[in-house]
Amino acid sequence: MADIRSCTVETRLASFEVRQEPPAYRRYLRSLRTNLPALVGLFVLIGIGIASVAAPLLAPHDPAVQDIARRLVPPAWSTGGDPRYLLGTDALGRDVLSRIIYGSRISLAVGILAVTVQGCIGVALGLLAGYYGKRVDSIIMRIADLQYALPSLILAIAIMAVLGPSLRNVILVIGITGWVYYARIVRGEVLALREQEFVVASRAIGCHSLRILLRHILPNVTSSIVVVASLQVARAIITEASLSFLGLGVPPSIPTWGGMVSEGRQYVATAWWISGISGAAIFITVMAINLVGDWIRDELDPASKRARQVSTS
Amino acid sequence: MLAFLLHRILHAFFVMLGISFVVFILIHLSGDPAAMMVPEDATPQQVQEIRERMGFDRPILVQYGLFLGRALQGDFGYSYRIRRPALDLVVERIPATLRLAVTSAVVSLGLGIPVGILAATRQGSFFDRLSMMAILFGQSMPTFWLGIMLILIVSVQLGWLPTSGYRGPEYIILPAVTLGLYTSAMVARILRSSLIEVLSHDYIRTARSKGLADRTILTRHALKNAAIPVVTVIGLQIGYLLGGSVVTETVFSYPGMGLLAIQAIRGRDIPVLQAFVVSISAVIVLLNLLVDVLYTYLDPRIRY
Repeated sequence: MADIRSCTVETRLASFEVRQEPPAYRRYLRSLRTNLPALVGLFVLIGIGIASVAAPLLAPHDPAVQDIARRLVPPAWSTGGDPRYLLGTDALGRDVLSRIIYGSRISLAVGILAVTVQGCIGVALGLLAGYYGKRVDSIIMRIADLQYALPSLILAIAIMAVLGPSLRNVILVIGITGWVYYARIVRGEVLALREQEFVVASRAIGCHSLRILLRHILPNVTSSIVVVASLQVARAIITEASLSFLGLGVPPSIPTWGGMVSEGRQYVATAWWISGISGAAIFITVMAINLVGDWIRDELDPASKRARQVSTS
Repeated sequence: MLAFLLHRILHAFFVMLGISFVVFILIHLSGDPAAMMVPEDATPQQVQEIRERMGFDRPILVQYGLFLGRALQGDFGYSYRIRRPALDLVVERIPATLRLAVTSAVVSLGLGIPVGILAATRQGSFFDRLSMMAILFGQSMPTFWLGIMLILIVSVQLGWLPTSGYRGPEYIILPAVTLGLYTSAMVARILRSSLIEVLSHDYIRTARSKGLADRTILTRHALKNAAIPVVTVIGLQIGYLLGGSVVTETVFSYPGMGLLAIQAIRGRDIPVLQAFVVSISAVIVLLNLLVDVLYTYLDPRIRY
């Protein structure tokens, strides 16, 4: 663009339009600034992220150290509380705050890794089903039907019961049981995309099917994948917590929020803070994810935003 | 209609066949199923004896055939803990779990439908904002934590309702609320947005312009159309209500299938676990069949 006068009318118009469109990240930042709930959710998540990464620095005590002399100390603000144990101690005298901080590691690890596993399986199967159709499609979709008749929590419980508790197993089990949601959405979009000109054209110039799927179709379904993933992160965290609560998740030696709710259960009448606070940690995390997820959905799915604008008018 | 029903029944049959395969694979996931079935202090001879008696030394497809043949006759073997057929133990718990699921469904519809209607008809009002917040809360709350907190507040501190077990109708209230809250948030959200959509249609404006009362428009014209997505959600939530019953029943020591399954897992009682997974899937498949039929009634355009 050395000299604007030398450009044709078309390129001038084109460059004019390009200048009108701000970069995507700036648009997202602007919409985030006006969306207070999403902003709050994002800050909560950043806080939890920092807590889980810097757990050894932030935790005031060793989460595993037991001290029977200091068991069931109430939170610092209530009578009988000890300022050194801000959120009190559990039945074995372990510091609840430190265990909550360490517990965030499991929740976040499961939230991120299990959703990655689900996404990889679901997207791959959805792409195959939608692109190849016919027999491939009907086999994959029949497996998806199975998953609907077998609730993912039941399947996860049954598999965990057989495999035994471990973090790796939890991630795998949640990964295996949650792929359907991605596969359905991706398949539906691919069905429409594969008839579009740009796909037909790339097939005509001799592109390999794999290249068409990965370079031409996949980029067009990413926003749907992100929308599903934002819902699934919250689900995965709740599923992990439920499994740990039932004693089928991560081994009890590792602090988890679900496990803490379960440990505190029998003391709930006298020491509400063990179950109460650790469950609140799950609740706040999931709510923050849902708030950010709503914002992501509004940004990436125009139909959802329109529905919202109708609702707030 | 008959062809549609036959098609759905055939489909349900194949789904159950698939589930039986998943359940069969389950016992082989652990490596050696014979080792899982014996007490931890069993001798190698005892393990070998079990292996031969149960047919675990045969080819895997033969084993599946044997398993399927027995399962079709309702034979999942005997429970290891209680010397009774595994399926009997599970089946006698089905009414309790169904009672919980149905009561939860009543809670979620009884709460979700009015909230959804009020929020949609008073869009942007204080009530609408409040209910949107309540929906967000309901969808973020882990079931087991909600249950424990309800026990703490309603049973322990206020003393209004019993904490656990089942000895009368009052015992079902807290578990049903615990299980139904998430679904009620879901129903309220879906109904609200679908009703807002329906109310913006031309035929609603026509009905209003010919002077019909708001109530008539809502009950006669809008609700039936807005109900379709809600029925879809309920269909998808059946699995959630029955699956979630495992957690809820554990929290409240409610004597249903879920509690039995958890006890079976703790006692490594694999036949009971298998019978449980198959039974719960059968119940879900049947209920989904009902939802499909309900669909064709609600929306005559849907023809299969």
